Amino acid sequence: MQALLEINQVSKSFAKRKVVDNVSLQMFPGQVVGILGPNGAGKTTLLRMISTLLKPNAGSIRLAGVSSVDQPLELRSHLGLVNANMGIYERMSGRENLELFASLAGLKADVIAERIDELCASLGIGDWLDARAKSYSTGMRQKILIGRAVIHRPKLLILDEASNGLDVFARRGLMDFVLQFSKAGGLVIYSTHIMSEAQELCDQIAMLHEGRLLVNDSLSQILSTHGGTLEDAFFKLAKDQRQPVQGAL
Amino acid sequence: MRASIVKILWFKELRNTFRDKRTFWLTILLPLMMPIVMMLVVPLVATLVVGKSKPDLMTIGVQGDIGRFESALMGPVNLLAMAGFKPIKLVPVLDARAAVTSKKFSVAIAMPQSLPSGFDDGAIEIKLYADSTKTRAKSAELYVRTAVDRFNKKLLAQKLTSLGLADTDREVLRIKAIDTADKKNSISMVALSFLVPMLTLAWAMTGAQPVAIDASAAERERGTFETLLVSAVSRWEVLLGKYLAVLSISITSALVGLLGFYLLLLAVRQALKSQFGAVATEILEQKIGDISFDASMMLALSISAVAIAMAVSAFALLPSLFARTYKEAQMYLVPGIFTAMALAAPAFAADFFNLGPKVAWIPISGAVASMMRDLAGSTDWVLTGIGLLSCTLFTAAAMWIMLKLLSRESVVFRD
Repeated sequence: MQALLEINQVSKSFAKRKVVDNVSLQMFPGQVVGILGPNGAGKTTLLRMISTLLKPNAGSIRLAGVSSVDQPLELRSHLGLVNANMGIYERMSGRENLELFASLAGLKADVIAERIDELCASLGIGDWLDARAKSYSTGMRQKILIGRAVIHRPKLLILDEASNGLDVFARRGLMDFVLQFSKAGGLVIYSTHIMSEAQELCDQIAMLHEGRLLVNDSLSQILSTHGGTLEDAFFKLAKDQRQPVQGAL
Repeated sequence: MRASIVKILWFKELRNTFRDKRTFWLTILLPLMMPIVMMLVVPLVATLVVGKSKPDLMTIGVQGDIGRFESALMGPVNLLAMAGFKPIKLVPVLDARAAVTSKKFSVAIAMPQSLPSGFDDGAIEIKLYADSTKTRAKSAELYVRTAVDRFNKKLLAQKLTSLGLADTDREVLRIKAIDTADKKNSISMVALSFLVPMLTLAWAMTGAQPVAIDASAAERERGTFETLLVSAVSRWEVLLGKYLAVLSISITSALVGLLGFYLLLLAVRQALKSQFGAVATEILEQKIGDISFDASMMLALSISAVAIAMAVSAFALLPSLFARTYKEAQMYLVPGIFTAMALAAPAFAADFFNLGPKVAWIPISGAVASMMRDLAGSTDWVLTGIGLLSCTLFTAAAMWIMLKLLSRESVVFRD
């Protein structure tokens, strides 16, 4: 099967400090890939490079054959990103937020209306969608952010610490949506520092520590190799400070 | 670059701006309401305060018999007296010095025993006591000196008549001033020509700043900036959409302010005219000039206001793009305001330093110089065009810098 996302020996430095060091990964449609690591491991930087917001100092990233450096605009049309720092326009309603980003993706008004109806059903946002976003709870905002990220039907959905600050219901809703998106053939990159969350959701795990890839393998393989939980596996791998493992599925 | 995307982003910023009541008040309603409030307040003050109570402007203590000097003292202010003012009130005091030192009066005069009836009586002194730290004392002193001067001139005229000469014969060399300026407004319009461009600059800034901050630093603070950048839009489209929104509000503020100012002048004129009739017309003609802006002048003023708004919008957006928070952007904008004002300064000093038309090539200064010319009643379309061009070039350069800034990762992710 052709990889949807190819990350090839990517490195990134800020002020001579290497934040991502020679990382290579391949991801396929229908997968939920967990990017795990503690704060400062380089997860957000890697995801920002995939999203074309940052340019790698070395290596290449291709999504559906589109280069992140040469065709950033086209690549962005194939992905949706939600991270913990993102917000929505509070003076607009949820519907207006979704309409705005759908328009920016080049969708026509009738298609937008149709897609919003679909999102109302899948995310359960219909009851309050026309209220000003200022009055929304954290969970409601997160649903609008997810809706914004997928309204143009991207091939890749990146969720970077997207469950931060969510209550148990909102978190469950997020996880359900992720599974729904992957079942429909989309690739999900789920980045978190909460290992238990990834263990519940992901079928492939890539662990980062100090910018380096500790392991990239299926969840079952990692658990069987290192035993216990993902957290136990991470501590063991980080302690060993092994060279990056280029896993293949 | 896709025009449809720019338009979406532009309208998004405008919608965000108009949904924030504070920004709306500051950028649109304030320039509009300020002159309207003044239009209501000025006639009210004129009617209630000036028209009915007719307050005394200043009081002068007088020691001794003022006699026939009183008519001379009141003479210089006859025009105002006709309008219902009582500019000078003379109050008898026992000791002129004590009247001033006791702080009861700013100025007091000690009259001599008798006033001279002619030049043969020799020089006689009037002692004038004044507290030089008080502004009112300076004005009162000026009135007294003017009165004395008029008194002396009256005696001189009498003397000349007795010698068979006319009063005008004492001036063998005279000045006849001929104004060569191509203008229909009074030269006193110069005072307005300083005020109006500065206010236009201030209003353009007032409009540009909150929108610029809201569209950049505040967007970064809210987390919507990254949301926008990760969409399938180019940095140039994002920048242009934001700039057009800032410019739209800045232009609106400047033009609304300009219109409000014009309406205010008309209202003041009408209010004073109805209250004081011909006297007010005389004062206004002397002090303000003929306020009769024609369509051509209004068009030229509007073009220059747009040029100023263009440059000011770039001034406001550039540092705001760099700022991480609303507060940080406000801090960066303070020197920006002073820089914009400094750029306007050469226009005001152009005549003095003989800068000539070169001044029009300085951004903002050119537009200000053009407005000054318009308000003096002699619109110069070449100057207006150069003013617009210099602001356009400045804006283009600022946009290029902003685009470079937005392309830098260290600027986009200042965290």
